[in-house]
Amino acid sequence: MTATTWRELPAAVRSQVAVARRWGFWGTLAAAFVAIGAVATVQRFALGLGRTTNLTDHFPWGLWIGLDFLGIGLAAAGFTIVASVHIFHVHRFEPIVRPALLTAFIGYVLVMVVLVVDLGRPDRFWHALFMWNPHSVMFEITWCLILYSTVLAFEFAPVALQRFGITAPLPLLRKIALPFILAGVVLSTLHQSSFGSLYLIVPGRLHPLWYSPLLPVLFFMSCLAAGLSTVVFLCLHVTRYGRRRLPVAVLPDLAKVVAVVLALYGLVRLQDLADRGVLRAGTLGSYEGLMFAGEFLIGVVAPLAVLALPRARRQRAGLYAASTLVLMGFAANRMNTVVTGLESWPHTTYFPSWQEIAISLGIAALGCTLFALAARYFGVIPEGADDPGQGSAEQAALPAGLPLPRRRHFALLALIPTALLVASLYATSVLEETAETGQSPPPPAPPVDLARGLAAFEFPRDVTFERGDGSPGAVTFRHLSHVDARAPECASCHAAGFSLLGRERGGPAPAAGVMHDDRQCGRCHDAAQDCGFCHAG
Amino acid sequence: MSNPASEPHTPQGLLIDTTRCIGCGACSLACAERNGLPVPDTARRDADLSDRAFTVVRAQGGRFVRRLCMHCDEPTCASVCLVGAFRKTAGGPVVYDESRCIGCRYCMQACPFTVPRYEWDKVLPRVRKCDLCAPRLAEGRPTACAAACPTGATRFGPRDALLAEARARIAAEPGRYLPQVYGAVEAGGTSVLLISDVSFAALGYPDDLPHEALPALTWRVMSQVPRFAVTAGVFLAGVYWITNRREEVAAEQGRPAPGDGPDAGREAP
Ligand code: HEC
Ligand code: HEC
Ligand code: HEC
Repeated sequence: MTATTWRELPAAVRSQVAVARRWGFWGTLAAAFVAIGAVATVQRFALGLGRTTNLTDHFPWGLWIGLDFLGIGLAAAGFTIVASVHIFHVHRFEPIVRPALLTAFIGYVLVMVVLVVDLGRPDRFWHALFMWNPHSVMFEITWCLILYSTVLAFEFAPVALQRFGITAPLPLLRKIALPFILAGVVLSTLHQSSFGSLYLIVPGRLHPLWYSPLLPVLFFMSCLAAGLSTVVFLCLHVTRYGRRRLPVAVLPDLAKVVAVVLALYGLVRLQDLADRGVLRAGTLGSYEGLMFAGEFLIGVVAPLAVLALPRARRQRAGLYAASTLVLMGFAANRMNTVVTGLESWPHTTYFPSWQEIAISLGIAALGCTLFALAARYFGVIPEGADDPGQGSAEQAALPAGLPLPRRRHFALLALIPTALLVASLYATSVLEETAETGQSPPPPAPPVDLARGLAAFEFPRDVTFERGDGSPGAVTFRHLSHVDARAPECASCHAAGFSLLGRERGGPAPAAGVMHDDRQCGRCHDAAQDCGFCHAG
Repeated sequence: MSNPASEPHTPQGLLIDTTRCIGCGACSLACAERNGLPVPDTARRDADLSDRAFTVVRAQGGRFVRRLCMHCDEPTCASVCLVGAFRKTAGGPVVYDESRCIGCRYCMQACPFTVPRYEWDKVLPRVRKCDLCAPRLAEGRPTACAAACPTGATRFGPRDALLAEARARIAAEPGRYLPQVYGAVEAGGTSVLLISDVSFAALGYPDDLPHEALPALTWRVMSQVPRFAVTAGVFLAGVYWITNRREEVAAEQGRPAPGDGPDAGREAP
């Protein structure tokens, strides 16, 4: 960027670019992801879904749908925190309302972007607004997404308006806030659970470890834990660098809520599986069983173990670990529902293409970048404004009980997802190999017993062609003379130009010479000889 | 699209008798001709449905068996499609209106018979599947596949009559058939019926489908949405009023606000 263009930029953009510059490693990484994602997006729209994804007729929903599930779940904090503060008046969580709203808003906008990328006809996304089918869960979700995003925009509007120094509409916004808040909470509850309802209709296809009549309830409960963990994680992360201050002291409280919800979720999940008789050794020993065990251990058991220690709840490292585990387990659950659980019937395997992965990473990076930029730009996380002169922001933000984590904690944490990723990649490649070797050579078709079919065989009726100009006589084609009733065969003529349906409406006489030529009757008969052989009528 | 006025009014259907199929492939050739699809290779015995093959004949379980859209009485595809691109017509066919489709592929994900196929190679793709020759039915003619079948393995007619015929065939030769008409109740009933002497699972048909129409599974939940929304809204407004009032009273009395516990922010799922 040259100096002149730099100066020409509006001040707002310039300050953001400056922020991005200060970002260093993470910023660069995010920019790289977004750039690769952009290339993949262009490819996806230019070449179509078939050439840029590994989706197939048997596996029509893949990574992107999983990403939507994830994004919506992670954004669940928006309504839980708003509900606690504004409806239940738990004022302790007030400072995290704004970050939660921002997370939710960005999450929803990006989910809608991914949905459009995933649509086979993105040019028709607007049909969803005008063509209604109230029986479709997707219909309900679409409307909840749209309405809730609007609500979020309203809820976030005061923050943005204040930033731009527009204060006039604020009192009005405050007055009409309550209906919006109520609507937001109701809408969220509805569509968070509806994402589970999407799969209620596939009892035969989704593996019983994930299919359950309780899917909507399970989805709702798990999104509560995941949404709150996202806020915990983001708050810890944003306050790491010290410039921003957040009363991190509320985080242990939040973590307690997470633990309660998570424990409830775990109980309901296990009870449901036990009730339906799925928790058998045979099921648990399978590939699906292992994936379920992984999801449950990482996402429920491990974080509960961490959160059960009061000491861990009061330490950044403990909170980091617990929230990361919940998020990973949540991601595993949604991905298992969308991918693993659907691979068994019809038997198929799916691993996303590089474009699918690149677009997903790009969108995720975009989300993080937007959050970081917006959080700074809109002052979502206050910069020591409300109690100045209390020493460094970092110290003010952190009560004595919340020591900074050590580096090796992070190293350990980073190890877990890496190991998981490698393991799942390995599992998929092994599966694909066995699927391939299982398919070639194709299993020899068992001999088919034709006796009964042949007994029922009837020759198709005779066809008398309409006479063309100068035809020496009507020609009647008899299948009787052409088809061996002991081994009937039709493709030699009907795959080679003779119509099966053409005579139904007494179609026009064949064009001059056509019937004689060596692609039709002339293929087997010598049309130059004995005209009466055919023109018998 | 067929003219609804001339659609048959009694549901039509197909009866497929796998004991009669000789695998000649005339049905798939006729289907391709009627739909303007590439001529199929009828020698292949493991062909799958695709955006270019709305029906195939496969050798499976010791029989030749057709695969095609089952034309459910209460179609899952029609229920899940958010823009209502699928419709069950009075005459039996489940038809697809490509001008509405936005390509979400929920129909493909949800179909209990994994029938709908997508034009993956196209930039602006459509969902493709058998339409039970709806335009031909509207003209009073049978489906192309039934018209071409030389053995009566695929028979066309009013669904009721076909169901009766299927039961009669089974009753007449109990040793020859399994005592089940596939599609009579599967997934709530389908316009395409099958009878066979080998199990339908062996033929590659799902044998664990509920006998209730699948859309009921979602509708049971979806129909609660308005009531739930109102109840939840009123409940939350009530909670708001109570907590707000408590705070006002507390403020008047100069006490700290009550109910400030971390678990107060939960509601029942
Ligand atoms: C030797 C070539 C040949 C073979 C083999 C053959 N057909 Fe035909 N078939 C014809 C011709 C020619 C017509 C009339 C084409 C036209 O209408 O233009 C015809 C027409 C038909 C028709 C339409 C009849 C009508 O009244 O409209 C049916 C049905 C049919 N064939 C079925 C079969 C079946 C089933 C087989 C295999 C068992 C078969 N054919 C094998 C040549 C053949
Ligand atoms: C696949 C090769 C093949 C094709 C294509 C074919 N035929 Fe024949 N046709 C035969 C054979 C073989 C016979 C029996 C041998 C014989 O009688 O000469 C036969 C016999 C006949 C006969 C005499 C028996 C009868 O039914 O009266 C007529 C007429 C006839 N074909 C007409 C036609 C006409 C018209 C066409 C084009 C629509 C046609 N064939 C296309 C192979 C063919
Ligand atoms: C193998 C069967 C066959 C033989 C042999 C045959 N034709 Fe034909 N011909 C047909 C068919 C089928 C048609 C189309 C129906 C019609 O127009 O009657 C046809 C059509 C015609 C037509 C109408 C215009 C056209 O070309 O489509 C003429 C003229 C004709 N034939 C002349 C002859 C003469 C002359 C001979 C003998 C040298 C002969 N055909 C031998 C099958 C035959």
